[in-house]
Amino acid sequence: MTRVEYAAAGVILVGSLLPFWLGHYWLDVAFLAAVYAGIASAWNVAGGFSGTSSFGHGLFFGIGAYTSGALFFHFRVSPWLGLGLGAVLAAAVGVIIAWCGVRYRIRGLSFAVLTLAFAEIAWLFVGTFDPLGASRGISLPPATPGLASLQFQSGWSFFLAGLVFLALCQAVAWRVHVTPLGFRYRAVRENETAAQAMGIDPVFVRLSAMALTAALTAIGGSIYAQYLLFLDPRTFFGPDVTIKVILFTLVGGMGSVWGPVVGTALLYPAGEWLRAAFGGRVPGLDILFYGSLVIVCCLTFPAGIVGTIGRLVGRDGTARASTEDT
Amino acid sequence: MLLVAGLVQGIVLGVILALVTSGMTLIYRVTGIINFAHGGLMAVAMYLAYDVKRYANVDPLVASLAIAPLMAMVGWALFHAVIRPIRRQHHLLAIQILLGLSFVIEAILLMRYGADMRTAENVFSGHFVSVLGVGIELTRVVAFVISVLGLTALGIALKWSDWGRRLRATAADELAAYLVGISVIRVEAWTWGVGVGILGLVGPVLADVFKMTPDMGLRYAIVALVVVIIGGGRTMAGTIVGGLLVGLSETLGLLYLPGSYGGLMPYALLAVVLLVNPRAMLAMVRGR
Repeated sequence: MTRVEYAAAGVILVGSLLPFWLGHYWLDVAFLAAVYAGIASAWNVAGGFSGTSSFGHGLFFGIGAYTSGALFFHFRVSPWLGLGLGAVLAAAVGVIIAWCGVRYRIRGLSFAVLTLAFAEIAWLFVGTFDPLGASRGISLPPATPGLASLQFQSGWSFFLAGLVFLALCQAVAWRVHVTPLGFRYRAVRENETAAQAMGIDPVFVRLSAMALTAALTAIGGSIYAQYLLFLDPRTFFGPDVTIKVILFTLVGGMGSVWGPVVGTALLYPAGEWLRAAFGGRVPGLDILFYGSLVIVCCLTFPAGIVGTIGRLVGRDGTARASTEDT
Repeated sequence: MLLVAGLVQGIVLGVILALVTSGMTLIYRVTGIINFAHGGLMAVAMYLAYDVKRYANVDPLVASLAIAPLMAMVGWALFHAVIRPIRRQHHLLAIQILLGLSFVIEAILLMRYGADMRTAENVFSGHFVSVLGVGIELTRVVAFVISVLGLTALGIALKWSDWGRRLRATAADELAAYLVGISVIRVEAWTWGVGVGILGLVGPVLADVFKMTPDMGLRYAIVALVVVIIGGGRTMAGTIVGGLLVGLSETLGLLYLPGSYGGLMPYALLAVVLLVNPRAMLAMVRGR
C-alpha cells in the first residue's frame, strides 16, 4: 500500500472506533455507513477498475436481501445459507447482464443504462409479485439473536458485522487492484482494443468484474435485510442505493481502493446528521447537501478526495498506485 | 372497446411523452450528455405554474407563455454555469452533476411545498370529452394538442431555421461545423435553452395531467431516457416513435396484464431494444 493508503486506513480505523463513544444512534449510522462503504467499494471494482459502470446495483442489493429474506420468511432457512445463495444468484445475474453487454456490443454509458433497465424491471416485478410480498413488503420474523441468525441485540454487534463485510469488500478490492487481474481490468478500461491486442480477454474482464461486484453487493443486501427486518421493493431494488454509492465513490475517488470508503465515511454520517438535526423542521436538507456537494466536487476536483490527495503528495492514487511495494 | 380505449389513452400519453422527451433528445444529440435533471426541471416548471395559479390566480395555460422563456433562460444558464466547464470530460461526470442537480431540485421543492401530492388546475380541468367513444379528461387532450403543435414547431425549426441548420451541422460533425464558422458553444447553449424551455411550455398544463410530488423528477427523467433510447437518440421522428411505443406499451400493459405488471412494459421494451437494435446502441456508444 502507498503512504496515502496507510493514512486513509489509519483515519478510517480511528473513525470507525468513534461510534463507540457516541452511543446507540451513531452506532446504527456507523453500521449503515460500513454497509454503504462496502457496496461503494464493490461498485468501484467494476465501475472504477474495469470501467464497467452500472446504474443498476439496486438489482444485486435486492437479490441478496430478498433471497436470504424470503427463504428465511417462508422456510426458515438460515440467513447464512440465504446470504451465500443470494451472492451466487446475483453473480449469475451479473454475468448474464455482462454477457448481454459483450454479446450485443453494449459498452460504456449504454451498458450502464441497460443495468438500470434490468434494475427497474426487477423493482416493478418484485413490487407486484405476491410470494415476495408485492408492494406491501415482507416483515421478517425475529429469531434468536446471535451469529447464527445474523440478527443481533446490540448496535455494536451489527456494527462489527458491517465492518467484517466492509473488510471483505476491501480485501477483494485490494486483491483485484494489486494482482495481474487488476492490471487487466485497468487495461480494458483505458483502451479495450489495445488490451485485446496484448492478449487480454475483455469478455473475461467484464464478466468477472460484474460477478464480483454483484456477489459483494448481494452480501451487503442480506446483512442489511437482517438488520432492517423488513423487505420492501423500493428500499432494496430502487435506484437510491445505486445513486448513493456512485456519489460516495465519485467524491472519494473513483478507481482507487480507498476512495469509496473515504467518500462514504465523510458523506454518509454528515447526511444522517443533517437529517437528524433538521429533518423535523426542514425535510430534504440531507438531499440538498448530497446534491450540492456532488456538483461542487465534480466541478472542483473530479479526481475525488483520494485522487486529489494522491496528486498533492506526488502520487497518482487513482490508477497506478500500490504496485511498487507488492 | 377496451382495445380502443387503450389505444387512445396510449397515443395521447405517448405524444405528450414525446414532447417532454424531445428536449432531452436535442441535448443528447448535440452535446452527448444525458440530462438526468430533465424530470426535475419539468417538476420546477409544474410547481411554478402551481404558484402562479395559487398566488396570482393566473391560469397555468396562460402562465406557460411566461414560464417557457424563463425555463429557456434556466437551461441556457445551466449550460454556461455547469456543463460548459466539464464538456470535454468523462460522461459520467456530467451525469453525476445533473443527478446532483436533480437532488437539489427535489430537496428545494420538498422544503418549499412539502411531500403532498399537488395539482394546478386550468380552465379545462374537470371536464371529460369522448374521443372515438372513449371518455378522456379534457386537460389530457389539451396537453396532447399542445404536444402536437410543439413537436411540429420544433420539427419546422430544426429543418428550416438557421438555428436548426447550425444544430444539425454541429450534431453531424462538431469540428467541421466549427471550421465553417459555427459557434459550437453558442449552438450548445441555445440547445440547452430550447430543450429546457420546452418543459416550461408543456409543464404547466401537465400540472393537472401528472400528479406533482417533489420526487417525481428522477422518475420522469428515467421515463424520458427510455423514450430517448427506444427512439434511437438521434431524430425527432425517433423520439415520437419512442414516445408512442412507451405510452402504448404502458397503457396496454396495464389494461391487459394482471396486477401492475404493465408498468414493466416500457423497461422490458428498453431491454429488448438495447439488445436487438444495434443502431440505437451505436448512437449511445458514440456519445462523448
